[in-house]
Amino acid sequence: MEDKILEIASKVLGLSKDSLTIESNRDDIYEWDSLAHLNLIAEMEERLNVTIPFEEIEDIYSLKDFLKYLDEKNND
Amino acid sequence: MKVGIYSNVNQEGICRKLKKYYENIQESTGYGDWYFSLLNGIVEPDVIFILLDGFELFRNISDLDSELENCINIIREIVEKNAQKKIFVSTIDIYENKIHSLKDYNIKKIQLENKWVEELYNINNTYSNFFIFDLRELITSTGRKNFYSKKLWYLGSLKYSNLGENIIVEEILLIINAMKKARKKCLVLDLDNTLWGGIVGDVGIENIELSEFKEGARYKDFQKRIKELKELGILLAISSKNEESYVTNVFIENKEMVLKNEDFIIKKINWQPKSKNIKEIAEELNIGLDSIVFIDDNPVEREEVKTSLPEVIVPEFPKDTAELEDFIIEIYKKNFYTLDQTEEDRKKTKMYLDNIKREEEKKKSSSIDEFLEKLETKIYLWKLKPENINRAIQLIQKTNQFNLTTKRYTEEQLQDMMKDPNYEIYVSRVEDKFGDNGIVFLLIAKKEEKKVSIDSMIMSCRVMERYIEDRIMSYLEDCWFEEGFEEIESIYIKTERNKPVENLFERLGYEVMCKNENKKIYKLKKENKPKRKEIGELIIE
Repeated sequence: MEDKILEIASKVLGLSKDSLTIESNRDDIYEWDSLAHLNLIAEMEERLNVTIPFEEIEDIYSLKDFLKYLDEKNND
Repeated sequence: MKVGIYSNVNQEGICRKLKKYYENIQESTGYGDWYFSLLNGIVEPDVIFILLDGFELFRNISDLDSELENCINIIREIVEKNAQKKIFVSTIDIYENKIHSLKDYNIKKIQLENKWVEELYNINNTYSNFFIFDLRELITSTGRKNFYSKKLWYLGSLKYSNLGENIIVEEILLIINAMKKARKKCLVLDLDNTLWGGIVGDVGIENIELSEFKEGARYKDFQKRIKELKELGILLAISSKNEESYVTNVFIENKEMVLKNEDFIIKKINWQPKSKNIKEIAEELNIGLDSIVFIDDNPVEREEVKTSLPEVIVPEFPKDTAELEDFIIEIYKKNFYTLDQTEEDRKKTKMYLDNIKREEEKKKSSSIDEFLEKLETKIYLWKLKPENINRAIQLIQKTNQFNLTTKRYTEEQLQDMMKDPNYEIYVSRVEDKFGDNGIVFLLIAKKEEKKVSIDSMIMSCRVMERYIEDRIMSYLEDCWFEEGFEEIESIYIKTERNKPVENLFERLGYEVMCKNENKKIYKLKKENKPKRKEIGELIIE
């Protein structure tokens, strides 16, 4: 699943997949600005078929934060 | 070509997505006043998309009707002020959540949406540089729940979901592509299990699947859309492994056939490889293989064509034939998308068919001169009028062979030249006993102090080798010499495709003044004007 997250992020941010890791975060990645953040949320929700609640969107800091929603989905 | 995106909501998301595929995008700054810079500033983009959100347009407005009128007036002014740019304005969708009783139906928003379309439609019919961007259609066919995103709206004033943005971006890219690339010219079709269901040789003419309703409608709807493509000037051809007599009889006897025998310009019904058929079609129509799209349900045939003729576009045939209609619409958008059609487009198939008759007459004639006499050619010549601009642009943009300088002027540049008294632009329509060829000739001349120089001379290959250029040039040269000009200058600039006119001006009796590998400059003085063939009749309008 990590791979899928990296793939989505690389598409949204316009960066090669190799330049990203699951630890990549908003401070490291210049392209990850506020608009890209929203695009990332929207693309993850659509492609991973998860829902990220409004309140938690600002707390997402690194790519690994998205894993949580996949785990939640799998536990349902 | 620079593309500008303007909106009354945050369009940054759309722009960022667009830029991944097309770099030259300019976004408007500040979305509150989508029209301010278009009305007041210097507008850089050549193509402008104005995408308006219906709900935001009327937010907190009490007099809705006068607000609508106000917006429409602004749009009209933008279109007039930017006459040289192409302007796309969206239809509007008013997505409003409101709690009300069942009895209390909100008719107003639908009235506003419809009034908006009506007003855009009027502008569309008045201005050739205006186009409707049917955003409402994109939204309703996708479904509002999927197209909009509440979350992104609250977070970043982005109205549309990821999906919604992608759909808008895709549509804009198709339009950009249609403007940038030459559209394909010919659609080659298979018959059995493509234009109808079943194999006619096995099931018989009456039993092929083709009907207005139910199963057979998959194919009938497909045919209807293909017929519409033909009306846009796309040439249709057949390549089918079949017995010719079966096929002929389907056209005559099956009343459900939307496509008729005469809709097809060439029919290759035989057992030879389809790539061979397609190659012959390209040669007979004198078009490049790269302007052909081939549709066949059989993967083996598709593979054979793809391998032998990689230039030909061969789309995957849908596995589910319920999707045939969507399939052809997608092919249209990707390969044949047309902003506007000219009179010549509508008549194209007939013109090609007339040409086949001319070729037959040619074979029957004992000499070329006898054939040319028999054609009874009439050449109508006049100075370019505004109503011919679309066709003139088409000739300038698309003609490769008979094109002396291959200067690809834009509509704006052409309009500037029309206003400039130093330029004369002529067009000519050629008719003969087999039919009308439409406007096939264009000449741009620039008058300088003592000489006239021919900036562009373009003729459609349909009427090449008929001495039409001789007739027109003789007339124009006489006019110019009479006006007092001392000499006429002409230029040939070599391209990969314009070899047919490499020695045209030598043949017309001009003197080569200087030449190098890529360019020749010619002159003609009054006393040196030769006698030329006078074929047909020249009519000055």
